[in-house]
Amino acid sequence: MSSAPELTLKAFNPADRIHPVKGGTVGSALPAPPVSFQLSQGETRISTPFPPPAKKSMEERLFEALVAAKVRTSLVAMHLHGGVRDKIFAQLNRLHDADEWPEGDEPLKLESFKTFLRFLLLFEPELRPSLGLSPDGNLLAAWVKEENRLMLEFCELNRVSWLVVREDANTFPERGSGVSTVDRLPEVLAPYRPEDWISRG
Amino acid sequence: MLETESKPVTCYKAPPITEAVVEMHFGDVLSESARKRTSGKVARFYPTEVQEGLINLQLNPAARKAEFIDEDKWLKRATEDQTEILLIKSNVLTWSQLAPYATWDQFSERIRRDIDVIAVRPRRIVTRIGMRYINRIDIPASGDSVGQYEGYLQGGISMPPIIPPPSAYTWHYETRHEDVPCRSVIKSATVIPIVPNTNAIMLDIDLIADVVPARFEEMWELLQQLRHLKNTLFESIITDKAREIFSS
Repeated sequence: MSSAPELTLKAFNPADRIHPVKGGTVGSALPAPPVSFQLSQGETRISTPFPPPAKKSMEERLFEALVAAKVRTSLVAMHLHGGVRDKIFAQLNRLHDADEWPEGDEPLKLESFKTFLRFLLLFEPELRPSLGLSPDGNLLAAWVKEENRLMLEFCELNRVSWLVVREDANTFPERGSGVSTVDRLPEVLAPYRPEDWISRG
Repeated sequence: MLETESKPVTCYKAPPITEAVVEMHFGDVLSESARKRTSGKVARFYPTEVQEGLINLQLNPAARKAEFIDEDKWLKRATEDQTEILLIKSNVLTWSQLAPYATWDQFSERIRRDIDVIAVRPRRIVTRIGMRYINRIDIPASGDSVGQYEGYLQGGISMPPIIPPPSAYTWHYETRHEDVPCRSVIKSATVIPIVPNTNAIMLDIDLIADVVPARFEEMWELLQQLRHLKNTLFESIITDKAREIFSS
């Protein structure tokens, strides 16, 4: 009877996600996914952050949330112009100040931030919003112009919760709210003329 | 030998580089305390430090045994915006530049600065150097994502006409170069698009020199040659249609 083969789990370099190369290549510094497995005949590969997530303090979690957001931004940085990246980073840093962190709140969720980046690339808003964080780690953006307000909460899977308050002369204040995908926002918000908030003109 | 100053370098408005990496392997091995000292020397350039590592897990189902082994540990230093990264491993230093990528001059000056601060010379012997540029080309979506990549890359997969154009692909090309003593590993694949209304293809150019001159200045010259070769390969693989994307 043949003995069962020993299964070896080797470190998986995510940079070589396409094809491992014999003789080695140049490694990437991009972070590995939380835990990844690659199964093949006779070999399984695994990678995991170090140290394990369970032991992380709140300061570490805040730091890691910021790092994840900044690294994610780097993937689209070539399409962000006019100092957008630096302004966002400055706001994110302020939002994640460990000294003022409310106990029990969650740091920025990467999935929420991805939706926000998609929004930036789609809308290219000329006026930057004020950013905030919901207690469960969703990024909030607000544009306020006198009594008029546009507020967005960026959720995972490209979902956005939106709230509009619009007060034109001679009309009763108008309010609208809903949930949409970020790609549909231009159509959904069109009746409220979002360009009044996000454009300079 | 390739002339390193023969051609003007093309600078794109929106370079597609998502990560540029330079790696130096050394003949000796740094202890954990030496890695920490090295990390301390560059702390003023890279304020954040994280310890990372790889864990090797060996499973033996027959014996119902699992063993965790710390395969390697290293220190990751990064700038506050996380775009300039230095990995300090036991026998490897890795410099990584994430987007936005400015210029080679800027990147190489950073490497040179760190080498001087860490005092790599004259004690440590470099046994291997590598350079890698990972590019993502964001192609405007036309509604039909099939077979678009041929218009943006000269390299590709040749298939008989009976097989329809690919909706996804991966290719991988390894070769050895004569002019610059190195081997190259060039990969391309369709990847998940990140930018709205685009399809994305990745072009990854990886150059490895396993024979490195002992004198530092000659090694540095080899690095410049690798960079020149990388540019030549990149420019010969992409098409004008791709250049239009980076220039707009």
